[in-house]
Amino acid sequence: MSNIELKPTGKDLYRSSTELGRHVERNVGRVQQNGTESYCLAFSQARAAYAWLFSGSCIGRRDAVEAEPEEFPVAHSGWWFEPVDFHDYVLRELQSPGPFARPGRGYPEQLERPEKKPADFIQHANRLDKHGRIDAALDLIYEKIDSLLRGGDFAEVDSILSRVETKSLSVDLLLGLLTSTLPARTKLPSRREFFARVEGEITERGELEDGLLTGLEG
Amino acid sequence: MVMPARVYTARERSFDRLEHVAIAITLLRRSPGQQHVGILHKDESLGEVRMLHLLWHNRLGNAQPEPSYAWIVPPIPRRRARQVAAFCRNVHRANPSGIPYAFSQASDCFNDQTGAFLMGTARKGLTCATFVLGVFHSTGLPLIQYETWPTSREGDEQWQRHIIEELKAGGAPLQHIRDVESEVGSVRYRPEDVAGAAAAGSIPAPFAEAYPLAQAILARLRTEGLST
Repeated sequence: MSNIELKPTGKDLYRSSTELGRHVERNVGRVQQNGTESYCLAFSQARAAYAWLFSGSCIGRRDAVEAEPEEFPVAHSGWWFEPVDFHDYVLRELQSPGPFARPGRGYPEQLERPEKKPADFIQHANRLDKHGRIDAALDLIYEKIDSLLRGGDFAEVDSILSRVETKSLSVDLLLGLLTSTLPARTKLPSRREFFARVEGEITERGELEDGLLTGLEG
Repeated sequence: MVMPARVYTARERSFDRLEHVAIAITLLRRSPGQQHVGILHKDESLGEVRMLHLLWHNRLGNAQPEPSYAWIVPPIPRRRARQVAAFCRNVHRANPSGIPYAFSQASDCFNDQTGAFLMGTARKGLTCATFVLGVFHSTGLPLIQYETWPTSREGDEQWQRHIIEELKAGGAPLQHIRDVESEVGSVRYRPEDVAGAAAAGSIPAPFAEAYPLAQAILARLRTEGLST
């Protein structure tokens, strides 16, 4: 796959991935592409945006960039934005028409303000993890948890920990949740119970090695 | 002289062979007797090693490491090392304006009242060494036993006052200078202390174990001519 064509379907759309890449580089600076096979984009709630670069349909790499979401109204019949969280999207290759795919209509209105579902990032991280993108999955978890904690939303983080199904997540992701919430442990009453569930789950899987959970108890 | 384990130079083992995370240390040519320390971390999906380090006041570096650094793999499980690497990437993303340089302690890098990382604005600041300690501490893997560290080692206060003069010369805000001055006399964790602790048999390492390892690492840096 090389230089996939992005058909212009409205203003501010880009004719090719190369053109898109040039625009991103011009506007946000430090975006690295993997030849012409890597694409971005995802946006954070904060003013800083992050570019998610794709190789084929897999997330390849990510670099921090400074940008505003409005700078990237990109749509294409072969690609669509998948909402990860409020104001966060990833550009995915369209394997089959998805619910937000609107070929020829430009930037789908539904995606401008998707419903806020903070725990969605856990599911998205799980999908990345299952595709072997462990570090990308951890980045998502750390970034989202950090964002919630910085915003003082301890209740939401605590709710997430109480709802996470430990059986469905890998050891790496479970450790990611424990580690990213460790600094705020005194504000998260459900974390102690979550730790116990993680410990039990890892033990049951036979993956509890020496020191694996040391220091994460809180 | 104690021969520390898991200490490598880039010549004998390239940074590419790093699995997830390590401590990197070198001598400073422009400041004889001084060292600099940071954290090597690897993003597996990129296959790229970067060095996260506090260069100076509000200057947080995260670039490919120079071969002039020796690196030490800390004694932590592989899966936990991956978490430290992820934490490093997040610290870099979350602190685009850098981190202030001061002498605050590393053990309380998070304000549980506000939820803010004190590696940001609420904290007075860190040194290159306490920054590394803070990252590992925040991930539940403290490198050293803080209570075993000696206070007022020879040269510590002199070094702290020298830093304040450098901050003044560099135009740091007056309030920050005052904040840093209020921390003069606090325990100093030196870059080689951090490296020595990482080379210990287990963490957190007491001073009595980390110190001789630190001296051995310094000797090796000098022998190999590793400086920046």
